[in-house]
Amino acid sequence: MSAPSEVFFPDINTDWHGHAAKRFAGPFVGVPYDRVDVDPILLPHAAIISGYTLREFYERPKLGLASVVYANEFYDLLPVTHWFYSNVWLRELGCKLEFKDTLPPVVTGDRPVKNPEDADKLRIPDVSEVAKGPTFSGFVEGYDFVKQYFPNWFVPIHFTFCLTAMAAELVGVDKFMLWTLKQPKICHKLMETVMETSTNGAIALANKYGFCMMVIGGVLANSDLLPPAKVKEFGMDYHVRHVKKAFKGGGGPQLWYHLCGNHARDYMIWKDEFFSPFTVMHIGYMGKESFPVTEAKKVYGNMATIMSSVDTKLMYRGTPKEVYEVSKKMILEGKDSPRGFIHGCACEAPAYTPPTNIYAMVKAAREWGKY
Amino acid sequence: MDRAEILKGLADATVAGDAEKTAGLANEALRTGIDAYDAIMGGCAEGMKVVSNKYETGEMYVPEILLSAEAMYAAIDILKPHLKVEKAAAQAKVVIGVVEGDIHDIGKNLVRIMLDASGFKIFDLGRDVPIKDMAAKAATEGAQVVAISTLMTTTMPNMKRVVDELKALGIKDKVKVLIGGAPTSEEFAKSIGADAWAKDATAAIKVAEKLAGR
Amino acid sequence: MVNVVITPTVANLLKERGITEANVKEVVDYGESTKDKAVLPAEKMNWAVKRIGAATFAVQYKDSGELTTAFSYKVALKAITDFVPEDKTDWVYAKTNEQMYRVRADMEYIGVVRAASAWGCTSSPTAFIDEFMAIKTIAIAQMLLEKKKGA
Repeated sequence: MSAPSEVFFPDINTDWHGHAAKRFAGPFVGVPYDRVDVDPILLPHAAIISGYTLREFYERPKLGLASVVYANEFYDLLPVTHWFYSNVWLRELGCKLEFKDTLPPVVTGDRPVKNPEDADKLRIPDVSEVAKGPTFSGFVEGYDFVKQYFPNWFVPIHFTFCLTAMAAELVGVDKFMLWTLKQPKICHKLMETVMETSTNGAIALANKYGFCMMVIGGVLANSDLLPPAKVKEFGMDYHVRHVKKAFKGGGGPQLWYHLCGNHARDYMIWKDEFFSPFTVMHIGYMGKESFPVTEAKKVYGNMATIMSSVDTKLMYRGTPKEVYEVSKKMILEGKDSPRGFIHGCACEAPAYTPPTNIYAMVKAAREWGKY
Repeated sequence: MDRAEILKGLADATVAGDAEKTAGLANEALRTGIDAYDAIMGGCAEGMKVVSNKYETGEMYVPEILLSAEAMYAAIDILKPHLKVEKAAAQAKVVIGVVEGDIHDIGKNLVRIMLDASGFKIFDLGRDVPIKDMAAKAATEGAQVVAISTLMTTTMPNMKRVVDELKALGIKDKVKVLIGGAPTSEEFAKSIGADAWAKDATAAIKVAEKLAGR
Repeated sequence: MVNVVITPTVANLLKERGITEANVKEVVDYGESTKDKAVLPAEKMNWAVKRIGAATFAVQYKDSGELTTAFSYKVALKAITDFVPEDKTDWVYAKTNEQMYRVRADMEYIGVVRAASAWGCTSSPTAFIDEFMAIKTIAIAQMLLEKKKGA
């Protein structure tokens, strides 16, 4: 039986992969390999440079993951097959998702919660129900494909975009924000609902594959929108419960905390997150600027592998020279971080990032990130 | 209550997010003969200026802004029908929306609230606004400013298309374009022929006032 | 001293996990004699932890001595680095009667030091790692470390 059409690249270079895998493991095992690793968090960009569309990346998980595999070899990045979108686990709670040409899938139409009393009507699907749902099916379609055709790459990843944002989507972001003041109990009910649903998704994934890396975002819970106390109350506290419960059910051991956006006023509170031996802490911005590597190293360097954050505006609009110089600075500042360092972008590399800008990140790592 | 107390009361109740109080004071303002425009601008708008400053310093965040906006609109809904025609006509007009292809609107909503509070006449087209619709509305309403936002790099090119559409309609010389949103920048604004860029909602007010010649 | 009682079910569990009766008795004796153990007074439960050779053994048992579970892990506690007192557990540190809460502990294995979340308190030199963490998270982490260091 011939390979599916998504296997559209010649065989992965196993020599390259061997080195890339050792380089990726370096930060986690305390044995730096040859140089700093680079992860611009490629998502639809990988499909676009392969000649496909943003929509196809999300609508076709196998295509999406295959293009990430090929793009990682093409650019010489870390060999991780990530494929995800922000509105995960929400269809299971009654939201309608629409696939778009210019955006990741978005929640459209009526929200399941219009009034506070609707929050009690939401039903949390259990592990077996989540395992039959659309979010899980999409991930499994992709991961089974990776396991079969790229077995050396296979790491199942459970994705929780941002529990706060997910809860907000159930009712509408503006309304949720207002309800944190006017109806906090309802907001907590919604947080509990998305947390439990996502946790069941992680357990379902761990049941299927034996384990699952967990990626958790702090996106709506950020300094532009909420004060630190509310970032904790409606964000981090739920992260902790989610990870603990998911770990208990077999999730982990890898954890990647992706604090997207501006965390200038709240980045210290995440020190109380739940940590595993393989944790990556990644903070996007301090105000409008990339989160300083020196600060990430100072605060989190002894707790987790840290990740740098090249401004995504620079990735999209800057020149390769500008990206290279910024990367060089970040790599020199971060490469000796005690628990390891990965050079990355503040968020996923924009879909239409000029490929030479991704290359500039890798060039800087090759030239300035040697161990 | 005298005029100063009512106006101060409106401002304070707006900051506190007390919609019941602002509505009560709006009625009191009308009852005591305070001009509706003065009540909005001298009361609610002053309150929103405080809110805007507190947002910049981190004393208030989005939930508080939205609560204050609720309070402000509770008063404006009562006062607006009593606005004198010439005052209404003198308001600078702004067409605002999230650019075609994008649905993230919380930033746009904050800007709209601040612009409303500052006495602009707002035509909020919502999100994922077709390029032609945004330009056409500006033409129909004789807007002085078109304010466009986006959160996604994939839809940034559509901002340029709005500028181009305004040119195609022959009104670009009369309409100033203000852009904003996380992936945008002053440099990008210049590159697409927009007139200004604002880094956040607070900055957007000052920029919009300058663009509208106020 | 407490007389250790092992039911057939728990005996099977010990066998599966490669834990001997001698290991269990050593841990229980240590906990009882030093009071370096956690207790759940309302449920009359005890939790003792001891490093024996190249592994750390954890035993949970009733006041009567009946074992409820035992597990082990190869990582060794290097230091407790941070405390999160808001995230409380019902377990109490027996020596000082201090209620325990989540701590972050540096754990070492084959020369690699990494953080893990556990239970403890300021008066406890011991970090109490939950069973699920030990037999799942830490076990997989150990396996990956062994694999990757050897790769």
